[in-house]
Amino acid sequence: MSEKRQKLNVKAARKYGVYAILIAFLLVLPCLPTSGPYFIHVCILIFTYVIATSSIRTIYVSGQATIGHAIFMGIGAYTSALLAMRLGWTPWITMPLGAVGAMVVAIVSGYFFSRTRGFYFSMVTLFFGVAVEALIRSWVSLTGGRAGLISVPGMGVINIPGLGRVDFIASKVPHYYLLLFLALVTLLVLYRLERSRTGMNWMAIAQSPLVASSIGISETKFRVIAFAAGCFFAGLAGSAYVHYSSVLSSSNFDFMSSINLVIFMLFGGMTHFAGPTIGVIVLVVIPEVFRSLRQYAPFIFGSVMLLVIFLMPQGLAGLFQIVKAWRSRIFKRGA
Amino acid sequence: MAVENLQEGCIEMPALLEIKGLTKFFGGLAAVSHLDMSVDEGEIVGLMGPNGAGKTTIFNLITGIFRPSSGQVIFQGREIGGKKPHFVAACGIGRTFQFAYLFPDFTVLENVVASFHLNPKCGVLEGLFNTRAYRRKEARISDEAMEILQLVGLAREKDILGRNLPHGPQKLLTMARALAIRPKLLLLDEPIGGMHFDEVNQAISAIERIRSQGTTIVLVEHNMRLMRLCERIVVMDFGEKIAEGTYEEVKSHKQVMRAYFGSEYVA
Repeated sequence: MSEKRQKLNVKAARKYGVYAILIAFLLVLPCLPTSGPYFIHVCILIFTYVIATSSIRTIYVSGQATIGHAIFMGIGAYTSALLAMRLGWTPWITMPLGAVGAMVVAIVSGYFFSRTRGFYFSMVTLFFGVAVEALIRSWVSLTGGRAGLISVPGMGVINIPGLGRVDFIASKVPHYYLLLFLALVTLLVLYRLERSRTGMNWMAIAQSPLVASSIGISETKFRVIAFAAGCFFAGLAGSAYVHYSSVLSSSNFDFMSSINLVIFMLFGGMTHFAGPTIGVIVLVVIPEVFRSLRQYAPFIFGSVMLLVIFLMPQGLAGLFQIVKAWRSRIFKRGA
Repeated sequence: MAVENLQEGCIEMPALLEIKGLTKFFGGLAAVSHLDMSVDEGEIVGLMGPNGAGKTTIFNLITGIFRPSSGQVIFQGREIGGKKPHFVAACGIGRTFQFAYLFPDFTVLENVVASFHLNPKCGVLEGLFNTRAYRRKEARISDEAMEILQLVGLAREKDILGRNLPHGPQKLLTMARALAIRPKLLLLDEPIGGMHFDEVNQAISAIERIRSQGTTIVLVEHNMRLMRLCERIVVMDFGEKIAEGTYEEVKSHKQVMRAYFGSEYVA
């Protein structure tokens, strides 16, 4: 028994060790001499998309294939930016409020969306996204219309006890840490939700709503919970990014942006929790690396997508399983 | 007052499930018409009839998948006709389906564990923070799920994915799943349909064990071996009750034979 426990402890230590090393690496990354402002910018972009794409996956886990997710980033971003600009509130307060705003919209709309399933749900979320985007675009007095909002207040200079003065204006590095922190919190919360009974109920509903209801799982309730949780973090991604970029336009949250989130997720692999993270890293980095081949970008992008879909239907994260299967097969043959 | 009645021994125990004038129309067709039926606590009742007689429709009406056109379904003195399926399950009615519907991507154990959603109650936040109480609860749930798997004889298959299970064990698994919500009333829709001989024995002994634990059962079946277990049988044809009684009574009932074999074969 004690031997078994010891083995388990070793396994847990190894698992958490890997995470600790990864996080330590991410913490020292901006301090390395090779990391210029542009590199930091790409990292911040990646963190933002990790939050958004992981949150869309949560909704997919509950069997709801939304294709209007970007609009909830937009709702979060506009809520936060407008509160900060019109009411003069500090972004440190408006940022979480943006996420809450997206969640409130998601709870109300998700309740009605949950009456539809499958293809119809996708369509309804698509129409919702298009409609809200059009609303933002045409409500010029509030949102600035097509031109959008400029000079959204940034995070400013703050005093953090223990760290001293942190200047968000002079350098991108504090933003890096802020977005890293938010991304890690997002991943932790979504992971815990998925691994808890709530996540089990989501998967049950996704597999068979009929059976799920026969064992007492309320389809509406848990689908709305998943939708609200996903949209909360989408709103967070939007509101966190807008105070970094300081400009905002409705075209950032159009239909193609939603589709991009789905592509990130599918590319990384939907069945795996780490899938969206891997997908975002690869798909954000590739275009940056091949900047000189810009005119061929759609071609390269399309070909890579086709290859992944045909060769790795589970996405990049599916490679783990493939490698694992190979390894066990080789070991079996050896034994 | 109630105590007095008890002492006099004249209190009428209310039925666990009472169906009054239940009717369901699909378009112009009455799938079930003016059905009266009651199930007492601890009973095992068989529901029988040719294909299309409306047996499964009754189950769907009880469990809230269909809304009754008229009539009442009263469970433990509470009207449940037309309520949502998950609400009916929470009231204490478990069911299986005619087909082996299960969660194909869950393992056998997870399929049963998923049913413990109601009992004990697990909050969203509890799971989010992974509290010690939550972990203890989940550990106990997994033990209880194993007990139920043992009851239906699937303990050895606990780590197999639902989709990889053969048809017979799949049906046994759906029974285990329905049992895991700790129902007061269990509705089994053709629990041994499509099973081979050994599996039938396994299923029947599981049903006998469930019954001995005091769960009330209503089952739809064509198999006479299973019908013999029933204390009472309700026979239906074209949505109407045509006979009710013990196995022996029903077996020789004229209308039943007519429904099954056609009027020309019945003297």
